[in-house]
Amino acid sequence: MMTEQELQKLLKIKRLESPGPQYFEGFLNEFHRYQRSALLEDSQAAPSFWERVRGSLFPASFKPALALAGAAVVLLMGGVFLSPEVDPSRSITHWVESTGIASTLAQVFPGEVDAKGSPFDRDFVSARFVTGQERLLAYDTGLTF
Amino acid sequence: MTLALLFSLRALAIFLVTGCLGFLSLGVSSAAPGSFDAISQEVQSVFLKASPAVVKVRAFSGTTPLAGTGFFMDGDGTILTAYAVIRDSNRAWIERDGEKIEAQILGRDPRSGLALLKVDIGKTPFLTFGDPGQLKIASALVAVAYPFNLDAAPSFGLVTGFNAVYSSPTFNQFFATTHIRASLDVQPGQIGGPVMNGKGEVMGMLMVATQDQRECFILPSNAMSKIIRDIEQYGEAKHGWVGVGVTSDQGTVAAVSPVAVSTLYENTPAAECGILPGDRVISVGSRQIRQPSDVLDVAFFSKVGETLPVTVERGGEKRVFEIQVIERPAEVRMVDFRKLSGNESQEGLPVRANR
Repeated sequence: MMTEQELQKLLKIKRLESPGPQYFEGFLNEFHRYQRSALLEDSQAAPSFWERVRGSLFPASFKPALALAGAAVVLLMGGVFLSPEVDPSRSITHWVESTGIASTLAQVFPGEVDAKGSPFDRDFVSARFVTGQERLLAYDTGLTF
Repeated sequence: MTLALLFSLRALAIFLVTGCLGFLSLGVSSAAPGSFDAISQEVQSVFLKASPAVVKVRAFSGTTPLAGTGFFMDGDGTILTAYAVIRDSNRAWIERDGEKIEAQILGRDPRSGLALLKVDIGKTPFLTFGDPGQLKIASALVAVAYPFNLDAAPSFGLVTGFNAVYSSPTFNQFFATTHIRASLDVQPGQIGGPVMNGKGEVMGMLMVATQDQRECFILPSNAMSKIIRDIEQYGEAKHGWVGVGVTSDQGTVAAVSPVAVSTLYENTPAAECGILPGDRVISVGSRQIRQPSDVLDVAFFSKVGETLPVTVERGGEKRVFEIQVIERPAEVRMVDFRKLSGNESQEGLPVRANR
């Protein structure tokens, strides 16, 4: 183990040492090369206009194909539910029955869908609880005999 | 002297204490078998008896789920509910003890507001009909029905009237026949539920709540029986008429006054028998006509094919017309008397004839 005096002596010797001129030239060249490569990488990573728009609207995990499929489903369901005159054969219940999806749904969501395709519980959460006034407004009995 | 005073003070104290105790005991004894408790026990008894026979009813109007109440009228699974609960639906379900069962729709009648369903689940508990003719103003009634998606609930109230017209701040509308009005608190979803007397006998069915939901109108059970018989016999309700429209002499429908013929309808027995607008109607069948709504009851309980004697007064002279009852058509035109007299050619307006 070095004593304190030996350590001071060694530091004096090292203080006088310095790298040669080739070291400084090499360091400068290496610095410039690193700077250029960094600039090149930045330019390659810069997003286009559409990429910037997409990035501001959707998360990075956004999948256009999935979005397209979702939009198609929404349009289809909207068409079914917003039809002004609903033909019973076009009702969602009829569709569920005709496609035979009811039994599959009943297996996946037991208790949610009965075996005949009637979404009893789920649909009746938003059921119209009858007050009886609807019929009176629709049927004028008149004062006749 | 002092001793006598002490005795009299003691006697007064004993008297006061005894009197207070007696008063308190009287108060306690009158609260124990109170009338509120008796009413509560009676309502509980009706509720417990009726609730096993009362079911939730569900149907679709288009894609809109409809929710109401119904009840078994026999032990074979026949269910009565309100037309408003199923409307034009081609499928209906009931929920009983948590089990959802698809029901067959036997018949429906928008004019009376009644609908008949059936489930095939073997023997069922059921309610029996009583005589609503025994009801008077302030007779007690109990309704049992399902408010919203909640459990069956009893509602207690009194008969407040007998009316053939539904009157609200926004519209007035005639029923097909006189209804019982009662101070029953009816919530959405309870329409179609049975209304019973203290014995648990069905007096009628909840048809419509007033807009503030403090009162309701009840289709009497005798009117229900008529529609049930029609549906069982013909598969549909058959409403009879002779083709006469009436109003009061004052031109209002609310006044209790002599009733006058206001309209005749084309191709009906009335249009051909000689009755004229302005004739005052005295009686139809065996019923005296005292107010315009009386004719609704006569028509409701009439049978298609029977002959009704109609007594009218014209120019101080009574005339009797024998008129055969026909089935109400879906749509009919009023007779235009100007056209008949040749003064002016104008077709009668088509009107809906209560189908």
